[in-house]
Amino acid sequence: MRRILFALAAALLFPLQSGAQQVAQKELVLIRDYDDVVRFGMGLMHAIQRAKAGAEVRVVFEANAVMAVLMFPLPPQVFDTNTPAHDKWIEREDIDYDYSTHTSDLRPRGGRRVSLSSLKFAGKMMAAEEITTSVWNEFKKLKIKYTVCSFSATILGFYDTLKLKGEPLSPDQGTPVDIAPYIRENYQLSVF
Amino acid sequence: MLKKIFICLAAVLVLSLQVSAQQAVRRELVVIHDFDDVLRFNMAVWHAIQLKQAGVDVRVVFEGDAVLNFLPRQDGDMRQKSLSLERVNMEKNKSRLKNLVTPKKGRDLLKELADLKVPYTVCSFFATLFNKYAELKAAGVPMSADPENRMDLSPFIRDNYQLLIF
Repeated sequence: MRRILFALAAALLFPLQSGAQQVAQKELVLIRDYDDVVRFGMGLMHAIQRAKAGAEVRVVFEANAVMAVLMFPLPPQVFDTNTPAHDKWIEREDIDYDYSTHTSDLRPRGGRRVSLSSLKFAGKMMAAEEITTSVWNEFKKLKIKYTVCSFSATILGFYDTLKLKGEPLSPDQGTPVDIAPYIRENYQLSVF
Repeated sequence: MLKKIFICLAAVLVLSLQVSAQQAVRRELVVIHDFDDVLRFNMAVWHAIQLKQAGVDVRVVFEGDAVLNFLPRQDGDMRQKSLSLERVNMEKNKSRLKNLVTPKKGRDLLKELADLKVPYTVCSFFATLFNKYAELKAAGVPMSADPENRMDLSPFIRDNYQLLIF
């Protein structure tokens, strides 16, 4: 009877211990934003914040964001959100979709766009590109593990360039990065 | 005395096992907004499929522009920007994988999602906003109940779903 009691007590204690071990949070951050310097930079910044908070962070760059990995330091024209590129884009008529009924494009246009040419960051006046470059440098300095999606890189024609640069590409060019293994390892997912 | 302690410990153990069994089934609510960019849309659906295949209890909500993905579209629209700021035109794209980033592939992935019995809902509010509600409804697309309001995500939160917004 006493042995059974000890066994039960041990069975109760071990899950408690493993629960305590799981406190080290695991975060998988998927970054897809690229067109918008602020959104891309904030995705990176949030990954950095999590790493600094003690989480075990892994970042996956996928879709357009694979291009961002090649961009540092950023040339100003790449992320110039003042250009009306999106407006031209919306006006394209190359698909059979009636844009006249598409009322969702609420992005500020023309003069109403926020100028990102000089922002105050860490006490200094900097362009948005410089800010994002400094965030990228911090990201690299913290040695946060990251993977660049081979599938996206191949589609967009940057696979060879990224490979040559020694970037950590995912193994399978034929499919997007498989997030299933991370799920099994209890990573929490965030998408930027 | 020992018997009482034994019963208490056994009860606590059984209860804790039940709780951890309930927690084992992870729940993710995938909310997809992407529409303009077929690569992003297809990858979002692909990730929902990966989650399902990993044993996660997945539900998908299409809202915002993404409801338009349920309308018939031509292939070839690939709204990407290259380094020189030119759009990557899939008609000219020489990637051997280009067939995986077409609206047709998107439709195939949606079918795979349905075949895996992943419940998905298309937001009636946005369909109404884009004047496509009747068309989508007639096509048998599973629409949310209230065209006057955006889909309420709070029931999912109460049911312990984690939110992933693509």
